[in-house]
This record gives sequence, C-alpha cells and structure tokens, in this order.
Amino acid sequence: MSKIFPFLIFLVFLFSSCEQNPPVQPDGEASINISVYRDSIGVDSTDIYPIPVSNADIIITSEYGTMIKQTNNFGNLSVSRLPSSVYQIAARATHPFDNSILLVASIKDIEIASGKTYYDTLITKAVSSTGIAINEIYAGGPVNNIFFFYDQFIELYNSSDSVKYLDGMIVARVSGQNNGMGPGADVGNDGDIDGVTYIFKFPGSPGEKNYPFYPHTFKVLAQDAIDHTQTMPTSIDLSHADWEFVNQLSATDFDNPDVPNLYNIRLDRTVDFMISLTSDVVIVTNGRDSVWEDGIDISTILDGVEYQSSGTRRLTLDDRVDRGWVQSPPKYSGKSMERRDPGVDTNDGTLDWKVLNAPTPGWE
Amino acid sequence: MENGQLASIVDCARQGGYLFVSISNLKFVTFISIVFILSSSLLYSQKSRTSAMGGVSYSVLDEDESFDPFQLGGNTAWLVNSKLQTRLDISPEYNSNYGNYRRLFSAERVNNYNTNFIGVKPLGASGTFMGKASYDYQVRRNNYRTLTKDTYDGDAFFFTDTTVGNTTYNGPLFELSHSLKIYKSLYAGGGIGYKILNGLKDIYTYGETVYRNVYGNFGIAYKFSDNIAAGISIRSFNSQERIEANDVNLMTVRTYHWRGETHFIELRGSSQKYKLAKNGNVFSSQLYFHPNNKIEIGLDVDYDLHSTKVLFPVGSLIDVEDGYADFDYLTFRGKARYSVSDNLLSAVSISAFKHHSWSENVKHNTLLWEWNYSGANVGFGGSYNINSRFLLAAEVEGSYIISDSSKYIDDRNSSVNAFNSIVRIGAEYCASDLVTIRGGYNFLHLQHDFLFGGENVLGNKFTLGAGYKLSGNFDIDGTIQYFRRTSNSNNKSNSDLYLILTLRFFTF
Repeated sequence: MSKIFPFLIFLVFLFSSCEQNPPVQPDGEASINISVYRDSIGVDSTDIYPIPVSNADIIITSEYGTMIKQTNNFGNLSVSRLPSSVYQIAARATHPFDNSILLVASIKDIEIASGKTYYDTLITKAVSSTGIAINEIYAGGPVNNIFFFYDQFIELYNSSDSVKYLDGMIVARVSGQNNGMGPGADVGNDGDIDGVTYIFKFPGSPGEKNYPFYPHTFKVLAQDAIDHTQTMPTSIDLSHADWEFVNQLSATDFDNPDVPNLYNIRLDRTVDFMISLTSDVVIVTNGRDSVWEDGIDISTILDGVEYQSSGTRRLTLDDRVDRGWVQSPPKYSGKSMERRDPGVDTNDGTLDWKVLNAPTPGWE
Repeated sequence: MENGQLASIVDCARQGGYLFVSISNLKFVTFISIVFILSSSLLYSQKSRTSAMGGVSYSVLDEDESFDPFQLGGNTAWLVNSKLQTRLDISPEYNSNYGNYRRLFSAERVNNYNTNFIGVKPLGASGTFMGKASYDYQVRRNNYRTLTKDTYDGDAFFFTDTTVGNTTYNGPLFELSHSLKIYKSLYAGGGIGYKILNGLKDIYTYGETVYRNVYGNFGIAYKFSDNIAAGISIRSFNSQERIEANDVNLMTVRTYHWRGETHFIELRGSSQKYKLAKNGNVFSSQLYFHPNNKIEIGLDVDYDLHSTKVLFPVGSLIDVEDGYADFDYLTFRGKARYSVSDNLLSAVSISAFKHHSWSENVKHNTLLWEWNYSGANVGFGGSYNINSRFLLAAEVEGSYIISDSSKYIDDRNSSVNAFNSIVRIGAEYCASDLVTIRGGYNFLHLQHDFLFGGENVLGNKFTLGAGYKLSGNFDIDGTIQYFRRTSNSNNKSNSDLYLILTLRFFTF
C-alpha cells in the first residue's frame, strides 16, 4: 500500500492542473440609469432650461431583443439585472403641449458589461415631420409556399400641412454594394450612396406640379396594381393602388391601365421593381439626381429605410439618410413594416418602425 | 460455502448466462504508471440477470457485478481477468419513456429500439478481446422546441425553434477492446469506439443533426499479490453535434439560441447552423482487495473533466465560439462483500461525489450559470440462498445531496439539501435445470428530484425475467421492467417501460 499513496498524490496534482477557472464576473448584473429631459421652450420664453420628460417610452434594444419601459414622474428610468451586451437606447415621448411634436433621443452601440451601471442623460429633440416619408414597406409576401411575393408595395405619407408634388421623384432599391461598407453606404465618402439595383421614376420633372400629394394622405406604390387575392387568397387587393411600378422594357410586366405608372430609368434592367423579402435598402428622392451610375446624391434623398432579418447585423445605410435599421418580419409571413406614427421620421429606423401582423395599404 | 452448493449456484447462475468466478481463483493485482487515451463508454455486457432481479447489484455474486478494476472502474486492462469465458450476446431491446413529469424542452414520449451485439473472446496468451456493435433507433414524439440531442446536459445553452414535432435519431456504434498481460503481473488494455447518429426533426425547421462521438480508453493494472490489485486508466471522448435547420420551402427559419432560461437571441435566415463540440477525460484509479475467500473489496476514484463549446459556423471552415461550459466531477466509490455463511452474503456500498460546473458567455467573458453538487451515498444489502435453487436479495440505499445552483443571468439562485433513498429487492428461482425465473421490486423516494425538479417523488419499479437454457452453449434471457415515478409536489408522473431479450452463445 505504501507504493500506492505517493502515486495517488501525484495523480491529484496532475488532474488539478487540468482544471479551468470560471470567469470572475457573473452575467446578468448590468444596469441602466437614464434621465430624459426636454428644453423649456413653450414654457418659459425668457430662459431655456431642461425639464424632465415623464412617461417617455425608453426602447432598449440588444441582441436579446427589445424592451420598452417608461420614465417616472422625474424623467428617470432605472433598469437592472440586464445581461452583458451592446445596447441601443432610444427615448420618445409626445410633447406635452403639442401632440404633433415628438420628443426623441437615442444612444447607439453602448457596451454595458455585467457588474457595471450605465448612466446617461438624454436631451430630446423636438421632431415634427413636415414632408414625404416612406410609411410602410410590405416586402415579405403573403403566407404561402409557392414563393409568391408579387404583392409588394411601398406606402408614402405626406405628414406636412401643405400639398407636395410627386413629379419626377425617384424610388430606388439600393442593395448592390455588397462588398466593403455594404448596401446604402457612401463608398468613397463623396456624398452619394452607391449600389442602385432598381430605380423607377414618377412622370414629369422635379418642380412640376402635375401629381399632387395632399397633406396627411397616403400613396400606395404597388409592384403590380392588381387584386392579388385572385391568385393567392392570403394576399391583398392592390387594384386600387395609387401608383404602379412598370418596367417599360419588360414584355411580361403587368400594367393596370387605371393606375398611373412609375417607369424604370435603369435601362439594363428588364424586370419589375422588386425588393428583397427580408433585407434591403429603399430610398425616395426628389429626383434631382437621376444619374444612378455614380450613386445618388444624399442631399436629394427625402427618406431611406434599411430593413434586415438578422438582429445581429449592423447598419450599412449612410447615417445621413437614417441612423437605424428596421427588423423585418420573416418572409412569406404576411407581415409588414410600418412607422409607429404615420410620417414621423426621426431618422432612426429602429426607433420609428414596427412590424405589423398584416399590411395596411393606404389606410394607416 | 460447500463445494456442492457452490456448484449448484454456479450451475443456476450459468443458466441465466453468468458464471460466477470464484474470487479465490482471481489473481490480485495492483498497478503502476501512466495512462493515455480512452473512452466515455466501456464494453460492459448486458446485466440482464441482476436487472431482472430489481437491479440488485453488489449484494449478488455475478460475473458482471464484480468489484474488480474492469467492472467497477472500467479499466480495460483487467478485462483479461474479468471475462474468462467466450460469450456472444445478441440483445434486441426496447425502451419507452413517457408522461407529463418532464422538463420544458423535451418530448412527450421517447421510444428507443436498439440491437446490441457484444462478444468476448479470451485468446489465451494473447489476452482477451471484446467487441460491441449496435444500432440505435430513437423516436422522440412531440419534441418541444428543442433541436439538440441532449437538451439538458448541465450547461446554460439551448437551441430551439418554435414548434413541437417528432424527432428521429438513428445510427450505429462500434467498440473494440483488448486486454493482455504484458509483463509478469502487469496488465494493459485499451479500447476505441465510434458512434454516429443522424437526426431529423420533421417539422418547420427540419432540423437535421449529424452526431458523432469518438472515444477511447487505456488502462494499466498491476497485481501486487494474489489478493491485491490496482489499476489506473483514462477514458477520453470527443463528440460533435452539428445541427442545420432549413425550411424546405426556402422560407425564413426562426431559431433561438438561449443563454440561460430567460434570455435568448433570435436567429433568422433561410438556414441556421449550430454546433456543439464536447470533449473530456476521465482519470480513474482502482483498488481491488480480496484478502480471503469471504471478502471482496473494490475501490474506485474517478476524476472527470469535460467541456462543451457552442459554436456558430461562419463559412465552411471557421466556427465562432459563443459559449463554453466546464464540468468537473470527482467521484469515489467503494463496495465490499462478505460471505457470512455458505448461504448468506452481506454487502455494503459507499460513494461520495463532488461536482462543479459552470457556463460562460465567451463573447463577454461572463459567468452565466454555476452549479455545485455534492453528496454521499451509503447502501447495505445482502443475499440469501434459501436452497440451491432459490436466491433472495435486498439492498437499501440512502443519499444525502447538497446542491447550490446560481443561474446568474436568470437572476435565480437555489440551494437544496435532500435525502433520497431506494430499496431494492430481488429473487431468482431455478425452476429446473433449464428454466430460471427472476423478479424484483424497487421503491424510490426522492425528497428532491435533481433531474426533473419535483419534490417528494415516489417511484415504483417492477421487474420480471426468465432464462432458458437451450443447449450447453446457448441461452435465452428475457427481461421486462416497468418504472413509474410520481412527483407529489405537482402531481405529475412519468413511466419507463423496458424490454430486452438476450440470446447468448458461449462459443463462436
């Protein structure tokens, strides 16, 4: 037996050396303390000072999903027991004296480690959208298993109090820049975004006033303006759409004669205007830059939206167009993407958009 | 024990396919040295005799219930001394587990259909060879969300979809072992094994699994004298489970990667891939002591280190590690038998264990879960030969377990101490020279069920078996078992039905 014990002791040391030590820091101990303020304009005309924003929605987004909490009466919110992650934090509230004004603020890409508390004060900006914005994108197709997605549409909204005109405006899909900086990026930093895949134009030229867009109304731009329920019962009726994408170079693209058309201006494309079912970039421009080959000038872009299927991907659209991306619904789910408030564009898609269980072309 | 009685018992035991090997005939050993590659699974034969007797083990003399380094500690080096008889077992078996006492991500019913071939061939001076081949077919009915094969493996990671569907796994297993005397009283042995399974969850995500496990073992045993032997061994395994979820209609697949039980990451795409890589080593040492014909003692210490990595394939060659889990198990087991008289055998079993495991979020280097689990088990038992044809056996065991679980990311901590106990009784009756009948019963009481989480769990198990000797070289054994456990804290229960038929050849 005396021979055995030294050997056993040797084994204990040998085996102990194989152990790996656990991390020191437990997960789930991160905290966020946020205070939300607005300025005193509208309350005190002589002095500007911060006023807490109570009951503001705080939208906290990370790889684990999104949670929405509200600030208390002092404009504060404290959230604890959070896992380590990179967080996006946004605040939005309606201005207490004017419902048409939205107070918004956001912080991006904050890495909050477990055991740490992130403190910040968000000073909101008053946003009152006064122009044309993309209001809804229905890209994923209805519930089906035959790859039917021809009922795609884009809905615009004029949130201003004045009549706008669509003459010469452009709608484009920008997904061709898949290398380097990604779709919607300003490659070369020359003030335009590159990678136009499809580009369609309203009739006329910018500045003309033949196609009015009345205040607080919607315009539905259908891929094909027909009643798709005749083909696919789970689809929608777009026969009453306001506009239809028609590629004049295609012999097979359907054209509803009762619906005016946007026409293709990229002559090497011979198919209809189609967007990706789950990940893409769509822009609307005033049409003053129609030379797509060298990119579309950012200064001409009225609105742009990037939507993605993966919650872990990063924004590639130039942040002068929009600072956030929209989580798209699964393809062939019959779901749509829409702004939380019609026409309210804070230039942060993550904050502004939500997923709808069913599309609402032209009425919401 | 009188020679006549022993001969009778031997004959009866052999009826069921087992030959009692008198411990006085064994050479007693000890070991030396160092060790290498080895396995997570060893080539044990089917314990159909004792399992038909209610699962009594240490209180019954049986070839497969010895305390030697091979049987107790899985040291293949001792195979040459433990298995002295040529044997080929062909065992089709069926097992079904069902009931509502189960965990969240699990199936309503699991059916296993296996066929095993186990052969032992003593080769004289060339040692002893043992081989196993089996084919497993498993159906998990209404598998709730999970896409992984071993959902609850002690780590904080789960991979699920959104559906309930049937999952099927099937594939073969091959094992080979060889043991021989290499120098005077020094024995060496080793084995290798390979298992591969294909899995399919036939709904929505059509999660396809390719699972493979490669394992091996190596051991050395040394016989210090005729009544003491010791061994040292190592078993290693390396397994990989690759899951790919695709929608056959090319629609978006939605899967969820859970970190803990509260937080998950939703993954979307036309194809989702997930990989689990596991590997580990079990270092083991055994001591076998047999001072005289009446006493047999076996001791075994296992130190088990294994780990799990959660990997996400990026491209065809690169995997990104997302999670890591570490398991550190130390186990001591000791068993002893004493022949009080020719007809009465008493036995004791003790064990102690200390388990520590934790799961890490690799990206943030944070601790998700940590678990400490330790305890001790003491059992007493005995068997009594009422006559040369009738054997009765009983065992009583109690375990005291202390568990501390800290699920940090879920903000959930628990500390549980529990006393669990089990009573086993079994009987064997040699109805004739050709027929043997066996039966048994277990009563189980768990103050806390660490597996399924229930409190005050009661279990009843019934076993019945029979053996028939067709010829001097061919036996048939059949066993049926039914086990039902009920948790009184939530009034849920599950049942386990097990059938096995063993065709045993003593020459091939």
